[in-house]
Amino acid sequence: MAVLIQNKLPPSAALFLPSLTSSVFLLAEPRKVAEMAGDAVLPASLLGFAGAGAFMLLSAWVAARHFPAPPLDLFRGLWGKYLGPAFLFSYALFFNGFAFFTLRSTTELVHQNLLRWTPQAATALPLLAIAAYLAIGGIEPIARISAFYIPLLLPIIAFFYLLSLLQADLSNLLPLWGEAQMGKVLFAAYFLASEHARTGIPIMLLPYLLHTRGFLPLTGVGMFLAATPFLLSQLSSLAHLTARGVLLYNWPELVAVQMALPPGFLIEKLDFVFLMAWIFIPCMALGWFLHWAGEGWRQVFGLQDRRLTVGAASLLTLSSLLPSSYHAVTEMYHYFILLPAGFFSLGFLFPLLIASLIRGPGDPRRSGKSPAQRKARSKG
Amino acid sequence: MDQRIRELGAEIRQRVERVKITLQGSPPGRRYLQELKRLQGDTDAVFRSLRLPSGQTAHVVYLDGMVNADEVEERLIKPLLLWAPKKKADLKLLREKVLTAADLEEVAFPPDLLTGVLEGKTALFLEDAPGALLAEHFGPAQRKVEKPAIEFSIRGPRDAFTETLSWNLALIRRRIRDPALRVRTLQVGERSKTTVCLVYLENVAPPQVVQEIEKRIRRVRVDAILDSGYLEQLIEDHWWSPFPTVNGSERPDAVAAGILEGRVAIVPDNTSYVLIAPVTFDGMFHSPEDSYERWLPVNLIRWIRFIAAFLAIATPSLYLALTAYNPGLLPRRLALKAATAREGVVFPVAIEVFLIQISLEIIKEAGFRTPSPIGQIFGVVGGLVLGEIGVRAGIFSELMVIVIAITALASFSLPTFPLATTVRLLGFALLLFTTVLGLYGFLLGLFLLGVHLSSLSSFGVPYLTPYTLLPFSDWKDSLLKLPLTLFRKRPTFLQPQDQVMQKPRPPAPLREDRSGRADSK
Repeated sequence: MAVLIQNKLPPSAALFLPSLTSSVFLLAEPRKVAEMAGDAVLPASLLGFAGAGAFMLLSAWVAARHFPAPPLDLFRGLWGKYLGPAFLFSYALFFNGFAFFTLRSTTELVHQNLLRWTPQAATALPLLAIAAYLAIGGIEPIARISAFYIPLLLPIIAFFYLLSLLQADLSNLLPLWGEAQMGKVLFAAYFLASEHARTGIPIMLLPYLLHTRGFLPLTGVGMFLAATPFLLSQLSSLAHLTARGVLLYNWPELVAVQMALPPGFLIEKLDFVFLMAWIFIPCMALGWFLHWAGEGWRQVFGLQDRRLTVGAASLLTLSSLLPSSYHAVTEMYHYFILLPAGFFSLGFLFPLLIASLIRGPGDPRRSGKSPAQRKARSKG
Repeated sequence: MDQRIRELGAEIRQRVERVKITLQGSPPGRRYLQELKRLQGDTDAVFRSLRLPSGQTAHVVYLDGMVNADEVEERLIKPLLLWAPKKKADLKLLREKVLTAADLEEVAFPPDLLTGVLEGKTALFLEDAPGALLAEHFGPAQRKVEKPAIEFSIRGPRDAFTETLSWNLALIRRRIRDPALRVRTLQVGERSKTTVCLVYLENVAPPQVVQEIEKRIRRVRVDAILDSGYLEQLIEDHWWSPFPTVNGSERPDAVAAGILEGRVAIVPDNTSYVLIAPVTFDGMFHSPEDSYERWLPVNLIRWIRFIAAFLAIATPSLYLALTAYNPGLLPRRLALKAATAREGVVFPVAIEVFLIQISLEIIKEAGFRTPSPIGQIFGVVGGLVLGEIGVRAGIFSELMVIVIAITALASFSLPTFPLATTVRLLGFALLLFTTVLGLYGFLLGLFLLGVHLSSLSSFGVPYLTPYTLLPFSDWKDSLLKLPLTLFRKRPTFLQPQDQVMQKPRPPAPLREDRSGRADSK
């Protein structure tokens, strides 16, 4: 049916969708930061997150000056007939990789904490099916559901982390640097920043939010909202377990919350409420990744039916249940992540940034600003 | 679509040709009579021929039962027979000087005359004069305007729609006496020829929504529209969803409120349930009396409705998840109580929950289907007996009876009937998820519910509106209801043409003291 009333995306999409990246962080085991940065987990985390925020805002700013079209549609135009599909292919793989790890981490979390005796496939399949249903609906339902659930979930999660922090011994945060080496800390920060920023949420949303006033400030607030639970979780796990202690656990932040909470009144183990709240966010993130992976495959293979492309992305994601493929993809993924510029930056952001610096702002008709507005701005 | 239009065009041309060939050269009134003779075999068709003083022959045709014969006698036949002048009459003269019927419509095309008679109008024509008259509002004894049967309210008007279209339109018009109120009439049903009216405010309702609703109704090709439910199912956005994307009401005040907000009412004939679109999920929790009560108590009641909806969907599933899958989550004393209560129960928790849930639905259904005084007693007695004996026989635990009682009470406290039925269905779906995957299944079920809701829309308006929009002006009547003085604008998600709903009040007039001087205090 044709769209009757053009509501487009709710502006709250800019505010709440960046929170999906937090789930990736936490579920992709922040323990890895400790492995890379040594004692300086906290400085690396802060630095990494600041870098990610700056990168995302910069990408949103650059895109706001140039492109009203969905970014994946622009690769061919930017890179031509041969390189364009190559970037598209890598980008589709990249999002599929995120979907892959999100599904794997979520099912592991459920397996370890809720359903120990149920096969992982039984927990993964319904989750994947629901996320695929969400992804097939397109970007609007994803934005709507995130705007519906995240304002309910974030305060619960933040509350538990705060509660956990209040019970913690903050002296465990020291030493802030210890025996860490600057190179490794910077590397860990880069790892965090690139992993976080390359989900490219603001830049992916932008074409749908051109009508929204204050898109960039909203994204900034969204980044802050996304950062809060992440940083609180880092702080609370370090304050409870120390920088070396976090290496002992798969889910250090969950252990920290478990250590802090007293028995509840209606629910004996309050950390389950925390866990239940956490399960929703990766579910939404999975829908987001599958959607963009599907869009990538659509562009690569010229398929039109979204059910087909999301279905293909889901099948690839499902392979995370096979131990052999999991290990193989993990290895490959690390190589991708460690590439100096990353596909997203190399393929999309940097060309735009350079074009922006050389040519100034793009065509006003394409940038979402009216000629009158632009004229007034240039006069000012 | 084009083929259908071509077929219809050909059919009309054939009928016109047939009438022309058979009646060529006959007096004009004979053509009408010939067309109406198609009804002559029917026992309820009444043909009456009158010899006027002028020597002309007039024919009156109507369907018995659909027309009040006394009214026909009084307003059509009597004036004709009492009309003394021997001057030759024509329809214009009859309409202007003789007949006392208020609503007379002139038709020239014989098939229109037949349709009019089938709709319950009375046909009058002269054998030697062209054209015919259709008299309306000679209806049979109809159900009077009564109290609402389902949407009962403590405060507010007590009238409800009936099965008569004209009365229903009048009930809306009495509330909105605005010349911009438009009533667009359509005919739906290949055989039933049901009249369907679209009612909306021309300068408020978004034209694209009106056009879309009209387009969808015109596309309906069904034998009959026997109730608004037929139309609802044929024009809704998502036929596979348990959630209705076209709402309805039997209360004229609720429909008038919707029209004033910028929605479109769909009023079919022969039904007391008027449809309204577009709708949102949030709107399903609203009751008309929310606007009549003061805002603070309304907020309490509205939140109780939200909680009730959650309890009605989730209580049995949560009970199942917490007792069968994750009892460790319950505080120890409560877990022990639950275990003790289940001692002696022969079925596993999942089967116990399904059994009692199905029993509850059977009792509810039986209560609805039996006559009302017996139905109420039946529900209470059935519930008590089943609960008591079920517990004694070891089929249900006492805790389970409490859980199901909460579920039943919660489901009855929802303001709209479609929402209540949807909640019943969702309760079962969630139970199924929980039975398979425990607490995780419960969470997945809730997530799926959210995903499904976020993918729905009603005539272009996202179903989850206004929960997902930042303009806080749309929140004034959703999770919280603000005072009526703050309702300055119509909901923006409906994109009304005229946004202003309430103008700023003029400053209070200066009070005058006894000497006539203005006092500003």
